[in-house]
Amino acid sequence: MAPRVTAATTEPSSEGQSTPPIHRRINPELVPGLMVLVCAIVLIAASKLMNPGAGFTQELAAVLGTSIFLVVASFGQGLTILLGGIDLSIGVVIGIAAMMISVLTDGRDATLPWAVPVTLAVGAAIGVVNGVGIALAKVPPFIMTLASGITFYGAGLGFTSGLAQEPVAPALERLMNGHWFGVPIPIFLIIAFVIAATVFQNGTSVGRKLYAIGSSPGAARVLGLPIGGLTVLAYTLSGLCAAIAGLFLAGYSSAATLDMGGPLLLPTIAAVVIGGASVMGGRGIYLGTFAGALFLSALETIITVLSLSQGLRDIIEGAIIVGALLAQGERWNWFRR
Amino acid sequence: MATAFQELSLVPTMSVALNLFLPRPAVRFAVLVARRRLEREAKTLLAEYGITEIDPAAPVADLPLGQRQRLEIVRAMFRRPRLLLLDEPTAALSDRDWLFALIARVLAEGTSVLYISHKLDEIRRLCSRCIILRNGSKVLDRAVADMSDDEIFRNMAGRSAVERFLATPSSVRMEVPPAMRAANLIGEGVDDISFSLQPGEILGVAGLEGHGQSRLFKSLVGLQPLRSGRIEVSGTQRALRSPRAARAAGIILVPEERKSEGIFKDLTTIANISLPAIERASPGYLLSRRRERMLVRRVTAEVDLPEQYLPLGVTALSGGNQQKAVLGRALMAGARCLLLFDPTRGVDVGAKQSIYRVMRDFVEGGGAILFYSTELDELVHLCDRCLVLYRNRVVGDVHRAALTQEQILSLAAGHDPGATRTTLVKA
Repeated sequence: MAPRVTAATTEPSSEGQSTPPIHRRINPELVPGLMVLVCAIVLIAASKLMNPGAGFTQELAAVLGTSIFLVVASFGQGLTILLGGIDLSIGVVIGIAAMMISVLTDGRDATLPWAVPVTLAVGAAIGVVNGVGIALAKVPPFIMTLASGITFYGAGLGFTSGLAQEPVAPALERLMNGHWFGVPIPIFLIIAFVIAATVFQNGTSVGRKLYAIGSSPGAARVLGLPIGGLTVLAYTLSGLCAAIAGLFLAGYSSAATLDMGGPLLLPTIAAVVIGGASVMGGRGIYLGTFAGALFLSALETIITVLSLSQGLRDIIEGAIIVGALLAQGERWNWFRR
Repeated sequence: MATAFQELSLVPTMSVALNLFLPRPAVRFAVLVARRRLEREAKTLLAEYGITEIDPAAPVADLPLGQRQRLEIVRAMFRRPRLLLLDEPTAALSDRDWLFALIARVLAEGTSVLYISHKLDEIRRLCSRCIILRNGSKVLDRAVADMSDDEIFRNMAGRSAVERFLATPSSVRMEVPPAMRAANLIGEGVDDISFSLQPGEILGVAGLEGHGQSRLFKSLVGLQPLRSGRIEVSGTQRALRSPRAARAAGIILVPEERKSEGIFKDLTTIANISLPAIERASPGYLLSRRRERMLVRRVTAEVDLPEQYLPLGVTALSGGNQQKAVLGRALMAGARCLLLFDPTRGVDVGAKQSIYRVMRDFVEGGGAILFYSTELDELVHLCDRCLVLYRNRVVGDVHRAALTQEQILSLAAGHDPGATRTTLVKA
C-alpha cells in the first residue's frame, strides 16, 4: 500500500477487471450476512427434524415471529457500534418501556394513542442522555451507557417494585399474536422495519455520514462533519428502538417485568458482530445484523426445543460472539482479497 | 536486518524509550521493565545519534511527525543490522543532512543499505546502484552514475519526458480583496502571525519541522483555538471556530496525516470524495447513487483520478491516488481557499505532477492556496510568495523572483537573512 518508486498507475492491475472471480462479484459487505443466513436456515431445518410435528414454514414463522424484539433492538445497537461505541442500556430501556406501557394503559385500548408516544419518548430520552454524555462530556460509551442503564433501572425499581400489576392493552397483544392472511403480524412488521432501517443506514446522507464518522473520527473532524449531533442521534435511535422492542415484548408476553429486557442485551451485540460489523466502527450493514438476529432466534428456538438450561444458552451465545470476532480478523478478509 | 518504514511503525501510546527498544526491551528482575533505566539508556542512545530535543519519557503521539520519523530511523539503526531498509525516510524529515551523515556512518561499519525514495537528488547523493520499479516489476538495475536524470524519470514514470514543474505565469489578482487575510494571530504555537493571500496566489510556507506550521494551519480552520487575532475572508471578518465554519467560508484544509485525518478508511473512494456534497446527491435525504457518481466524476477528471478506482475501498489505492481523492474532496466541498499541508508527502512522481497541475488550475480559476511543503524545490517552483517560519513566527516573506532553496533554508534556520532578503510585509 505504501507508495514506492513507481508511477501512478500501479495498484489494481487491469487484468483483474475483465472477469472477476465469483467471490468478488458479491458485495463483500454481504458475505458475513449471507453465511449467517445460511446457518440460520440450517438451524431452522434442524429444529424441524427434532420436532417433526411442525412443518418448515410453521417453524420459520415461529422463529421470525419471536425474532422481532432482537431485530428491532439490534438496529439501534448496530448504529452505536457503527460509530465505534456500544449501548449497554438497551436491556434496561426495553424493561422500562414494557413496564411503562402496561402501567399507562392498564388494560384499556383507549389509552394507547398517548401511552405509546410517551413510552417511546422516554426510551428516546434515555438515548439522548447517553448521547449527550458521550458526545459532549466525552465519557467512554460503555461506561456512559452502563451507568445510565443502572441508574434508570434503579429509578424504575423505585417507582414500581419491578413487576407490573396492570395488564397490557389487549390491542398490543392482538398485534403481536394475531395473523393477517394466515401470516403472523410481526412478520409484516419485521419486513417494514428492515426496509426502513436499511434505507436509513445505507440510503441516506445521514447514514453515510455515520459510516464516515465511525470510520475515521479524525478525518470527520477535519472535514467538519457534525460529530456531536450525529452521535446523539445514533444513541437516541438506539433508545427509541429499544423502547419499540419493549412495547412489542410487553404485548407478546402480556405481562411486563422491569428486567425482562436483560437477556436481550448480549444478543443485540452478538447479532451485530456476527452480521459482519466491525466493533471498531465504520463497517457493517443492517442486513447482516438482521441475519444475525434471525440466527440467534433460531438458536434460541432449538435450545428451547431441546430444553437445554439457561446457563448453556449463555455459554453458546458468548462463544458465538468470540468466534465471530475471531472470524472477522481472518475469514472475511479472505473474501475481500 | 532492520527496517524504517514510511508509514511509521511506532506505538503512539507508548513512550519514546519503550518504542526504541520495542521488540525486546532489556528485561531484568522477573519480567518488569526498568522504566527509569530504559529512559536513561534511550537518552544516551538518542544523543549518540545527534538527537537531544526528544524526551524519552514522552509518549510518541505527542511528538511531531518529523521527530517520530527520526525515532523510527534510530530504532532501525542502533541494532547494527547487516541490512538496513529505509523506506522513504525523508518523507517527513526536514533535516536530511542528519540522515545522510548517519547513513555514511553505517556504511563505513559495513552495513548494506536498501534505500527507497522517489527523490532523485537523494538517490544521486547516497546510492551507488539503483533499481527502478514500476507497476510492481523491475524495469531498470544499473549504477547510478551511468544514468541521466531524464533516463531515471522516464523509467519511473513510464513516459517520455516528465515536465518537472509547470512554469506558468502567476495568476495573482491584486485588484480584489484578499481571499484570506490573517492579522496578528496568537495562540498555542502561533506567535503573532500575519499574512495576506490574494485570489489566484499560491503562498508558500516554509519552516523546519516543529516551527509552528502545523499549528498555524490547524488554527486557520478552527481545529485549534486562537487567543487573539483577526481573520478576514474576501474582505469580511469571519470567526472560524470550527472546520465546519471554515468550510462554510470556503476554506478547506488538506491535513498532514493522510491516514488518520485525510481518508475515511472504510469507505469506498467515491464515498470519500462525495462526502462534503452528500446532501446535494441526496434530494429529500434519499441518497441517489447516480447523482453521486455524476458529482464525483466532475472532480475526478480534475484531479486525474482514474474512474476505475472509484468503487474500490480507498485503502486499496496508492498514497498518490489517496491524496488525489482527498484533493478531489476539497474541490467537492467548494473550496475557494485551500490550505495544503505537505500534500506530496509519500506520493509518487506521477501523482505529484497531477497535484501540481491541480494547484495551478485551482489558482487560475481564482482560488487561493496556502501551501506548506517539506520539499523546498516545490516551494521555489510553485509559489508566488513564500513565508518562512522560525520559532512560530514569520521571519521572512520572499517573492518568487528572489526565492531560492538556500535562502529559505538560511531563514528557516534562524540565520540573519542577509542582503537578498525582501521586505517584511506588515499586514
